[in-house]
Amino acid sequence: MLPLASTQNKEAIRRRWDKPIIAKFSRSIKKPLDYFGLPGPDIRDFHDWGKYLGFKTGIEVVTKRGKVVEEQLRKVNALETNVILDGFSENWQLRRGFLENIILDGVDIDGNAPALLATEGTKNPRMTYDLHNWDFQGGLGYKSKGEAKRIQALKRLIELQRAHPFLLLLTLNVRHTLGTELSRYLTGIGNETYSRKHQRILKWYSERKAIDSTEHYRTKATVPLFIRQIAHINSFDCYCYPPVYYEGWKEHLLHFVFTLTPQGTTLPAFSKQQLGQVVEMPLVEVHSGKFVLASFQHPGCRKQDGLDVLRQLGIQSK
Amino acid sequence: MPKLDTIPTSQFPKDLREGQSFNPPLAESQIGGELLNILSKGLYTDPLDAIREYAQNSIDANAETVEIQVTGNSVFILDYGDGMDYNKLLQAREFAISQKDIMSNVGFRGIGIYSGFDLCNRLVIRTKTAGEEMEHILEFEFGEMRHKLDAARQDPNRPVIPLATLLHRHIAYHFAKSTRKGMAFTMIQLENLSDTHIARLSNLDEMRGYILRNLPVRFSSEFQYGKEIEKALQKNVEGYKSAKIILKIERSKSVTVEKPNIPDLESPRIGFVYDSNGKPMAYYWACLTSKSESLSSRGFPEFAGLVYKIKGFTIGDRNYLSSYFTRKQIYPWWTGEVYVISTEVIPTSARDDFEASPAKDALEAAVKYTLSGAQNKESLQKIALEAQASRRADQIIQNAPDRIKEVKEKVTEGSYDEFQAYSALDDILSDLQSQKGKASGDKRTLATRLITTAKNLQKQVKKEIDDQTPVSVRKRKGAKAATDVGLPIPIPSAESGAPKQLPILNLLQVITHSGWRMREEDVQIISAISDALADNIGINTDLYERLLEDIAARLGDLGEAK
Repeated sequence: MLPLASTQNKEAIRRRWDKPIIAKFSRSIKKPLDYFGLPGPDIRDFHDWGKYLGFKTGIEVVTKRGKVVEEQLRKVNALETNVILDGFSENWQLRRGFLENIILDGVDIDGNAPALLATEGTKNPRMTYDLHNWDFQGGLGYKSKGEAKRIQALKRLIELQRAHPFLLLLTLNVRHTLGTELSRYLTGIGNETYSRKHQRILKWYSERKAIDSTEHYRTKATVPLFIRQIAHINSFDCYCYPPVYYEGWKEHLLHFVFTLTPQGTTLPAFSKQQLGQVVEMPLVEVHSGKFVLASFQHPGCRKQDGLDVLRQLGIQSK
Repeated sequence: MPKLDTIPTSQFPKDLREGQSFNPPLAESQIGGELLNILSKGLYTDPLDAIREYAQNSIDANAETVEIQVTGNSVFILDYGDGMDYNKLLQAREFAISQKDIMSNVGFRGIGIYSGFDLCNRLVIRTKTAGEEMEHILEFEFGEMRHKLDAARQDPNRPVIPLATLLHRHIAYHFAKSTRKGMAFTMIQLENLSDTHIARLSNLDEMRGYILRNLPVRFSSEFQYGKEIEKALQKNVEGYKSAKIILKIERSKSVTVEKPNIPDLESPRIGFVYDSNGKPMAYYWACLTSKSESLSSRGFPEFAGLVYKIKGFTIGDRNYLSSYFTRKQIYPWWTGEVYVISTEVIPTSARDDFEASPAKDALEAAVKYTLSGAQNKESLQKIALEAQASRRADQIIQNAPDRIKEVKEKVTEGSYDEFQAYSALDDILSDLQSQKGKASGDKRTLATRLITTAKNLQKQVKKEIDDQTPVSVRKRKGAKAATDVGLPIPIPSAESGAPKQLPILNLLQVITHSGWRMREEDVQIISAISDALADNIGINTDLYERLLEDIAARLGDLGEAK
C-alpha cells in the first residue's frame, strides 16, 4: 500500500494534469485515443481516462527467469483480472515483457506484437498509437548495464510513429547512472544557441548536482530538449508541457508530457514552441496532491510565467 | 502355516489362516503423480473440452453469465456466480473427490480443475464471495509439475513423486484486498497455452459452435417459445440451469452465444418421458417446422433433430437420436432436446454416450416410444408424418382450382378431347377425395366445394361424350359462348389437334397415363415409392417434375419397344 501522499501526487497528476491534456488531444484528432503503455495492475489510467480511450495495449513486465517471476506473474494476473472485471476488456490486449524491449524488438516475450504495430509485408514497421504512457519506476538510463535502452526505445518510438500524431506521457525516476552525459548534452545545446540568457540557463542546469539534491534539474532540462531533437529529425512538431516533479513511494520522479504533430517534411521539422521557451520552462512540483511552482528555479525564471502556464492548464496554484 | 519369507512380518497379521483375507495397506507415496498426467492426457487433450469443464463449474455456481476471453497466450473464464470462500476454494485442489450434489450439478467427476493440466503452464483461480472483503487466489503450477514428472521419467533411478506431494508443492494460495465490495465472482486464468491451442480457441466460429453444442446456453430473446420452454425446464428438470455465454477473442467484438431464433416453428410439444413402470426418465421439448421442408434445408442444420441433455450439457450429438425414427427423413423436421432426469443414467466421461446399465436401456426404450413408438398415437414421428400428409393434402387441394380451371377453359372453348378431359377430371376428383380427409380444416371445406365443381364439369363433359356432338358444332357453340361472355375467340393452330398435356402430380399417375396396367399390390408399392419421392424431393420442385417427366418418357419408350 503506497503512502497516502504519494498516491495523492500520482492521482493529482493523472487527473488534473494529464486528463485535460488527453481530453484536448482527443478532441483535436476527433477520436478516442489508442493507448500503449504501463497501466499497472490497478489500471488507474483506464479508470481516470477511460472515456477518452479507444484500443488499449497494456504492458506488464515479465522476465522469463529469476526469483521475481512469480511476483511478476501475480501482477499480470491482477492486471488482467482488473481489466476484465472492471469492464475494460473490449479493445484490450496485454503484452508481457519490458516496454523498451517490445519497442526495440517489435514483440514481447511471448513473440506477440502490439496490435497497432504494423510489421508484416514492410521493411519499415509503423506504429499508430495516439497515446503513449511510459510510466517507469526506473530512470532514463543505466550506463553500467550497457546501452541506455530507454533512450534507444524513445528514439525508436518516435521513428515508428512517424506521420502519426501522438501524445507522450513519460515518467522517470530521477536516478540514473548516465554520469556526465546529461551535462555534456546541455552544454552542447548551449553552445548551439545564440542567446546568452539561454546559455546561462543551460549552464546552470548542467551544474546541478546530487550533493545539493538538485540533480533532478538536469533530467528536467535534458529530456524535453532530447525529445524535441528526435522529434524534429522525424518530422514532428513537438510541444513540451512543463515537467512535474513529485515524490512517489521511496522514489523521486519526473513527469513529462509531449504532443507530437507530424509536419510531413522531408528534412527535419521545427516546432512552433521555440527552443528558448523550452529552456525557460519552470519546474512544477506536486505536494500532497497540490500543484505548486518549485521554489528553486533556474535564474531569470519569472514566477508569473509559470503561473500563467498552470492557469492555462486549469490548475490553481500558489 | 507355510512360511512366507518375502512378506514383512510387521504388515502381516500373525493369525492369518489359509483362505482368510486381509487388506494390505497402501501408502500415499504409492500413488504417483504420473496419474495426473495419464488422466488429463486421456480425457482433456482438446482445449475446448477443458474450457467446457471450467464453464460448467461456473454454471454450477449459479452464474447467469459466463465470459470466456482469449487474450495473448491466456484464456479467462469469468463468472459472477456465488464465488468461493477460503475453504471452498481449497476444495478445488481435491483430486477425484466431488463435494457437488449430483442432482444439481453436472461436474461431479471431481477432476475438472485439472482439465487444463496438459494445456497450460499455470492455472490461477481468483474468487470472492459477496460478503468478504478479500479475494482468494489459488495458483496451480502445471508447467512445473509436468517438468518434474518428465525429469523423473528420464531419471534412470526412476524416483517416484507421490501425487499428494506433487500437488502440495505446486499449488499456492494467497489473498488480496478487494476493491469490489458486495461483488461475488470467480475468474479462472489458464496461462501460457501453446500457440496451437490459442489458435484453436481464437477461432470464433469453432468456439461458438462448440459452446452451442456443449454448454447450456439460453435461447435468443427473439425466439418465440424461448421463455415458455425455459420455464417448463426450470420447473420440471431438477437443477436445470442455463446461462448467457459471452465470447471475446482478442481484438474482436464480444459475441453472445445463444440458441438462435428459428422462425416458422409450431408451438412446442413438452412433456415427460416415462418408462414402462410410469417412472419419469426424461423431460423433453420439441418444435416441428411449419414449413414443408426440414430444418436442415431451411438453414439450421445444427439444430435439426433432437439431442440428449443432462442438466443442459449435451450427450452425444443430434444424430444419436435419429436412429429412433423409422422414417428418418422426417427426423430433421423437428428441433428439440431430451433432458435426462433419471439419476441412474450416467454419462460417460467423454459425454458422448451413457454408461451401459439397465437404466440406460430403460431410458432408450422410453425415449424411442415417445419419438416413434408404433403404439403411441402421439409419437413425434406420427405427428410429423400426419403434418406432412396434411401439408401435402393442402398443397394438392390448393392446386386443384387451377387444374379444374384449365379443363373448364378448354370445355368452354369447345376444342378439347372429351375423353382426356373426363380422365383429367377423374384424376382431380380422385386426388380431392383421397386428400380431403388428411387436409387441414379450411382446405377440407375447399375440397368439398371443388369436388362439387369438378363433378358438375365432368357431367357436362360426359353429356358431350354421350351426345356425340361433332367437334365443329362444339367449336361454334364454344365460340358463341366465348363471345357471349366476352372471351377472345381461339384461333385454331396447326397443332390444335394435339391436346395440351395436363400436369402430372405423382408417380402413380405417370404409370397410369403411360398405359401400363397394374395389380392392386403394384399400386400399393408404387404409392409407397411415390410418397417417398414426394417426402424427400418435394412435389413442387423442379427435380421432382424432371424426374417424373423422365420416367414418363422411359415408360413411353418401353411401351413402344413392346
